[in-house]
Amino acid sequence: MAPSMTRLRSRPRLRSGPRLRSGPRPHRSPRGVTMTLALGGAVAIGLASTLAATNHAAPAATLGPSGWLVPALFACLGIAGLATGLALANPGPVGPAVASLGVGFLVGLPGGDPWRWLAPFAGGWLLAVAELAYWSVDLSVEGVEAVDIHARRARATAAVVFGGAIVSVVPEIGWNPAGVGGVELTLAGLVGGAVLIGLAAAMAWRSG
Amino acid sequence: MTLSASPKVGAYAALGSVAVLAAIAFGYPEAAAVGMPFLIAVLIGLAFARPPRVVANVAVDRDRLLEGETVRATVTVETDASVPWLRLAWPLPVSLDVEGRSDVRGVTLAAGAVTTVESVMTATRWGVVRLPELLLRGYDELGFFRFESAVEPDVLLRVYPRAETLRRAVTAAETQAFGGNELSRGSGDGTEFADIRPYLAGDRLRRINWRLSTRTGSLHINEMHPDRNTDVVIFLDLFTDVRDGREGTLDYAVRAAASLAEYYLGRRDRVGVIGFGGVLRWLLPAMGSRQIYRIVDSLIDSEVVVTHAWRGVEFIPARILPPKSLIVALTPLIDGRAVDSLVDLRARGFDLVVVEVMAEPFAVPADHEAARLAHRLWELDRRATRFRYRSLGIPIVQWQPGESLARPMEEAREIGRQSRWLRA
Repeated sequence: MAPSMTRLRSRPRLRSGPRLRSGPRPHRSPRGVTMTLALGGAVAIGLASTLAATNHAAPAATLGPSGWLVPALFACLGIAGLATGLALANPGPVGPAVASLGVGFLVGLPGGDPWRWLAPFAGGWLLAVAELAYWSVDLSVEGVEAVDIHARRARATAAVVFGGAIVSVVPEIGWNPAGVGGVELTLAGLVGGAVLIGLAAAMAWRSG
Repeated sequence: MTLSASPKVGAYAALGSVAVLAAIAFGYPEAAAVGMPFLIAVLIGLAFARPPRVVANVAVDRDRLLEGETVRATVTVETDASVPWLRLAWPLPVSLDVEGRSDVRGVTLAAGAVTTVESVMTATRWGVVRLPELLLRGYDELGFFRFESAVEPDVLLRVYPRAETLRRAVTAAETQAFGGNELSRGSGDGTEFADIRPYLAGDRLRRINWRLSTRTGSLHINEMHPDRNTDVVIFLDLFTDVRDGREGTLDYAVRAAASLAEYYLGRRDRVGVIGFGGVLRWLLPAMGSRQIYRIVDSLIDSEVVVTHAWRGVEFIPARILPPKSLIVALTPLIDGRAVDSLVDLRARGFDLVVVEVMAEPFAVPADHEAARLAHRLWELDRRATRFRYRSLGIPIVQWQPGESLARPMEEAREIGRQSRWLRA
């Protein structure tokens, strides 16, 4: 018998066609999720600020036809700073990046009519971006893999963002139950600031 | 635990304050709308911050190990309040490698529960390693405040050098009085045939060579070479250690010393150690299995102590160097004091073998002309030292770090045999 007859025929290989995926789906890390959400939020608010600045009523429009470049520049700086902080797992650049995004919003968004409705939520939005960014930096530490810790922090972050957003709506809707304004509101703000400083001093004293 | 604000609090407070001030200054309510959530977040964080009481302990599964072996450290953490985010940072010394991505780990602590974190560390260098303090940094629910603490683990790891098993090494020219594995040049009781001589009163009858006695008509006896031990002193040059970050000549010299001590003690020789450097350290020659433990315990404490004082062999107590002992010197041939002391020992009649732990692999010149020229001069100086040794009849062999010690030992045996033949 010829040797070739004894060989088993190999199964012909499929050269084309869809391949079935085998095994579990790739694990999406919590850090990747928070990082993506933070950057997505930053890009969204940057885009919104830039688009709103093209409206003639926007504060940036007073600088001329190219005024929309100002919020765009601030947004780009903010996104770049945020990306740097997230990539290096360093919380340092996050604060300035959020500040840059906020400045971009203030010079672009409030005046633009089609985007005016976003203004009361911008503070909460920025806070959410900052919280997600800091959370992502915290997740760069090895070992924190528990699901419940992520869920707890997500709930706490959502509560803080929601609470902050509600408060930030107040100046926008012009709600003034005490019927005061002008100097009284300024005084109220100063008293609030003094209370904040007092609380911070108390915490510093407690921490030794 | 001490409580302190995280950088996030400062950033949020600054953002919120500036925005609110801008709103007041410019009459721009949108700025307040942006800043208020940050201030609210800081207020919420301030309201709920409370430092927990955290108790941590560190334990290891063993405190004596060889180079390359692993030790498992278990950190047990207990707290009276829930800590959602606790970082354990362990700035380990370079002689310990921790498995995993980094030496910072994170855990979640439940109130009243005991949490354990395990770290597997690999000892990369011999020595006595005290585990550094473990830094604990906990965060509150939102990461606004951190609670810091440190735990001082009372753990001392003794990492012994990994000795190489040698089949043969250089032997002493003269033997001592005790029984051992070295064939003495003298005659006496032994198993190796040496000579035949006429019978003398008192000779043992079992030594009589009957064939020769029958032929000559007078009694003759066989003489044997007795098996004796030798005295070996390992001379460790502790004046200089040429390093390139993780490794250095002293690392290899200590490993070689441990290998030699193990080899000679296995032959029932008496072995002693001299650490010759800024601080003179020694161990008197002795034999037996306990001596190897004494030697490696003394070796792992070896370190270079910088001194500019002149030190010669006159500082070495006489009883450390027994007469007719073999001295095996492990030196990088850098410091003139060690180089001259070895010449002095040779001049005093000691059987000396110099194993040069080559420093060249650790001394790479910088990439500029002056450095290359300095390196060439340095190499010429080292060649001159080697030539000086050879011209004085001191056997010197070079040992490239990383290669087996068997090759230089074999070379030293050959050189020693030739020099003895020349002397005879």
